[in-house]
Formats: sequence, C-alpha cells, structure tokens
Amino acid sequence: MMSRDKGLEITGITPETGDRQMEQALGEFRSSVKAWGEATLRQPMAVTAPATRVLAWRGRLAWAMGFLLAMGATSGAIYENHHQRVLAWQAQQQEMRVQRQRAQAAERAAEMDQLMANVDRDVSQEVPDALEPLAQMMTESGSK
Amino acid sequence: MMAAGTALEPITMATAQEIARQDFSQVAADHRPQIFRFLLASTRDPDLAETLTQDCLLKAHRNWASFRGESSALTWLMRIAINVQKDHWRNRRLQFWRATRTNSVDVDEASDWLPSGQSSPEQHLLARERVKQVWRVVEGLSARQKSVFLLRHVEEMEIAEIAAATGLSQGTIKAHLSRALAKVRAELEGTR
Repeated sequence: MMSRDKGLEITGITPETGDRQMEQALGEFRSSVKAWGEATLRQPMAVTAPATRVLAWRGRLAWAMGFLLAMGATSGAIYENHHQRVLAWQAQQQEMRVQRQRAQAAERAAEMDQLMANVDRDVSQEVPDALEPLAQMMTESGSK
Repeated sequence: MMAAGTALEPITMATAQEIARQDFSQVAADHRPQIFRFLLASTRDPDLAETLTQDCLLKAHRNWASFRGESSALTWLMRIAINVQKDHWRNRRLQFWRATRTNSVDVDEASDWLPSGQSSPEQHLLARERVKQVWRVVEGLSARQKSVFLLRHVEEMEIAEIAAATGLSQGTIKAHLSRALAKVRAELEGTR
C-alpha cells in the first residue's frame, strides 16, 4: 500500500512544496473511485447474454442487409451501364441504316437519270428544220 | 496422515488441477474488486467494466497454470486486464459500424461518489468539485497515461508493479505520472 506522502513523492510533489490541494484532490478522487466501485459491485448485475445474442443477431442482419444493398447497387450500376451501351449501339445502327438508305436512294436516282438520258438519246431522231427547203430554194434562186 | 504431493503419495493430475482451481478461485475472489474498480475507472461504464472483468478472470483462469509467480497475482491480473481493455477498444474500432451501446457515466455523475467524511455541505461541494477536476484530467489522458495514473493513484501500486503490469520501463512510468500530475495541478490552479 502507498502511504499518504509516498504516492506523490515520486514526482517531487510533497506537502512541503505547497501541493496540499493536489494531494487532497487525489485522495478524494481515490476515495470516490473506491466508493463507486464498492457500490457498483454490491448491485446485482444484469444478465447480458440475451442482449449479446440480440446484438449478434442484429449484427448478422445488418451484414446481410448491407451485403444485399451493396449487391443491388452494384447490379443496378452494371445493368444501367449495359443498358446505356445497348441504346448507344441501337442509335448507331439506326444512323448507319438511314445513311445507307440515303446512299441507295441517291444511287438509284443517279441510275434513273442515266437511264432516262440513254432512252432520250436512243429514241430521239433528228428532225429537219421546217424552213430548210425554203432556205435552199432561196439559195438556189439567188445563184441563178 | 500424509500430505498430498509427497514422495509417498504422488500427486495425481486431477489433484493438481483441483489445487490449482482452488488457488485460482481464492485469487480471483481476493482481487476481483480491484480489477473491477480499475476497469470501472478506466471506462466509466459499469456494464463494460463487469464484462471486461469477467473476460480478464476467464483468461487468467485459462493461463493460471503458466503463472510462475515472477510478479504478484494482482500485477499479473492487472496486466491481463490492461490487455483485455486494449483488445476491446481495438475490436470496437474495427467493428465501427456495429451498434455498440455506450453506457459511460459522465464526469458529473462519477463525481457524485464521495465518502461521507466531509463535515459540512460546503466541504462536500468543494470535494466534489476537486474530484470532478481530477476526472476531467483523467478523461483527457491517453489510454496508457490513464492506466498508469489509475494504477498509481487509485490502486496505489508501486512503480515497479506498474512497470510489470504495463510492460513499460520505470522511467516511462515516472514520466507519464509526472505529466499527468502536471495536468492535475494546472486544472486545480485554474480554479483557484
């Protein structure tokens, strides 16, 4: 056991150095803690095993809920990402289809123009000018 | 009548275990209040202190056979109590998400416990105020400083015993005590 002064002399604190208030405070603190400890030990302690079990059960439930939430969030993010990629791919395919259709239409139109030009060239015949015979007659009479 | 364990009557394993068990029961009964009080002052949580005391005694019982008596039984038990407390806080930090109840008593309530030696109500109030100031200082100490301070000034252990219980050198113990007492002095002088 520590004597009254021995507890403080190790750090150079003795009543002679004017630290009576601290010595008193530490003594009262010691007495207070001892009184509290004795009083608490005398009280019947509550059985904590069921509470521990409940806490353990709640802990497992919290783990499971947390795991499910994390899985749900991850799955949602993955699905959303996949969905966005599918939409982008579909939009890209649609755009390519439209461009291809436009090119085909333009090609068809060009072919049609070429065909019509060929038809015009093949079918048409050179027609003599309506005033040509008269012009020839005037030429002949002039020379005479 | 021959004593058990003599050359004429060799001690059996069961008898040795029974003797060890009886010895441990006596040691546990003798030192349980001090272990509980130390853990109570460290945590200010009666339920937690009781749980940690049980853990400490359970560990001590399991390792009782390896106790060689190099230090006193109380010093050995205090060392286990300090480690049990350390493990508790470490586990709690790891399991930060778990709903752990904290029943820590605040400084005001802890200061209510005073021996009925004060002669007047005024002295009682002053004593309560001084105890509260010391609690405030203890609250602000590191875990190691708190253990050293409580072992010295509540459990009244010698420096060598505290060194054995905490695994620190005597010089470190003295340095911790000096710093803690300087804080107590500053706290007390602040209200003069």
